[in-house]
Amino acid sequence: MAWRWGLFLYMAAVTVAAFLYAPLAKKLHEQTRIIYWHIPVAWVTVVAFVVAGWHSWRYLATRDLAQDARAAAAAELGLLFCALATVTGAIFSKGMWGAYWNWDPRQTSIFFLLLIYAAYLTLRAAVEDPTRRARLAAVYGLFAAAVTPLLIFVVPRLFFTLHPDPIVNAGGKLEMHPRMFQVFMAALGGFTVLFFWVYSLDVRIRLHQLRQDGVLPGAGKDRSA
Amino acid sequence: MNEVLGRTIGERIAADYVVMVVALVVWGAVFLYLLRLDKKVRELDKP
Amino acid sequence: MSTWTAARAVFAKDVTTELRSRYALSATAVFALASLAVVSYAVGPFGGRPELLSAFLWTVLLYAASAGLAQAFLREVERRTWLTLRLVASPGAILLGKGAVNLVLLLATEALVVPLFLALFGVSFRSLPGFVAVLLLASVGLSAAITIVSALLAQARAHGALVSALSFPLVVPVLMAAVAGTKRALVEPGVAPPELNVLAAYAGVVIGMGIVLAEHVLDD
Repeated sequence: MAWRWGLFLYMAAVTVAAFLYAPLAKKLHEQTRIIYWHIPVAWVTVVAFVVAGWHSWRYLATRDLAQDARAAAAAELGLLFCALATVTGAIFSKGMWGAYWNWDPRQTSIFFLLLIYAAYLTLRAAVEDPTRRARLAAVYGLFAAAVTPLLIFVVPRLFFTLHPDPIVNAGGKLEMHPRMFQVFMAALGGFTVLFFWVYSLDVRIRLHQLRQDGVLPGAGKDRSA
Repeated sequence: MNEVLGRTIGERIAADYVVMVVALVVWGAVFLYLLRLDKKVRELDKP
Repeated sequence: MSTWTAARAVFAKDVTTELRSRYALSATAVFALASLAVVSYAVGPFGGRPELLSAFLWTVLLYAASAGLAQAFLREVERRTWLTLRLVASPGAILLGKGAVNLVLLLATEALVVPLFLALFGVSFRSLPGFVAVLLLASVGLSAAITIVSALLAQARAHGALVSALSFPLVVPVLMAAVAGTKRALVEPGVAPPELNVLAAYAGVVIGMGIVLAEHVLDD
């Protein structure tokens, strides 16, 4: 119970730190403080993607509709966070390079993820029968997951990248000012916790709904609708 | 275009505070919404 | 019967049907020619920068592929030959056979579109082997992905347009690599554009996943 309020204070502290504690890196403008939200949100998008992919796989293995519910919940949240990541990334890009969108590999990758999420949810919406929907969505999701590494890791090798390597190096060596790095990592952790909290809420609501519909066995409450 | 290469801790601009407060308020609103949602879901889960 | 034999049988059946009616080929060709005509009309014979021309070519091909290849499974469902097909051949065989048909269909369309493209825009490839390699590999990947999506949606009784919408995100890597590779073949000599690796990897991943997940794709 208390951990929720802990999360509230934690994220509030991270927000304050992002504005008052962390300095700006060289050549960047105030707009680029959004990096403390952009990278964690993009990270959560990837986490959601992995969770959705995992549960898609588990559904095909077990044919348990609860797994499908988990995959769907992750995908829904993933779409939300992906949209946020795209927008915050565009704002960061404007501050850093003067253009909202320039198709550098990272922007291309996040756009691709946006399409995948949207297509997955479109597919789910198009199929009525829960079992068939779960199966088709799981297959599509796994195909998408298989193709994604190609676009995210291979495309940057083909094209020149405009992503801020001086600050965040794909090679793993982070050259941020230590304070920037602290705030950034703190935000990363906070957003991950936030994601899993919202995700668990979403899943529980879906499972409850499935039980009420009789699709899943379980202690359906006797509620007069 | 602003050519300052980087602000030190001492050089804040007003916008920093404004945006920060807005962000905190937004976070507060989101949090309270989630808290209420959480309570409702726990109602559902009770036997 | 073995998967290989069944796949060949599915392939032969569809090719025969297609040669009788030429339904899919006509549809694909018409889409390709119409979109190519529009682009040519707008750009003219001297207008093209290589990256633009490359993009035009692949846009036309993508459009035609989505239109023509999507119906591979829908027709089975419409004609109610679906159950018979499932009884006779394994899911993997069906996917392989249909995928091969779609690949041939796409290649036939390209045989029509590419020469026209070259003629209408007055270009020639500095590296024709490079382009042919890009074209072939990209076609394999493109047709494989669209075949699988079409199989998924045929059972969903969903509209054919949905196949395009769902295929597009999956084929974005192919398109990007194909456009880059084609542009490079237009301006540089040399036989092995690096984009070929991406295209080959993509085709491998999609076909591999198709074989592994075939049971789930067609499990009605």
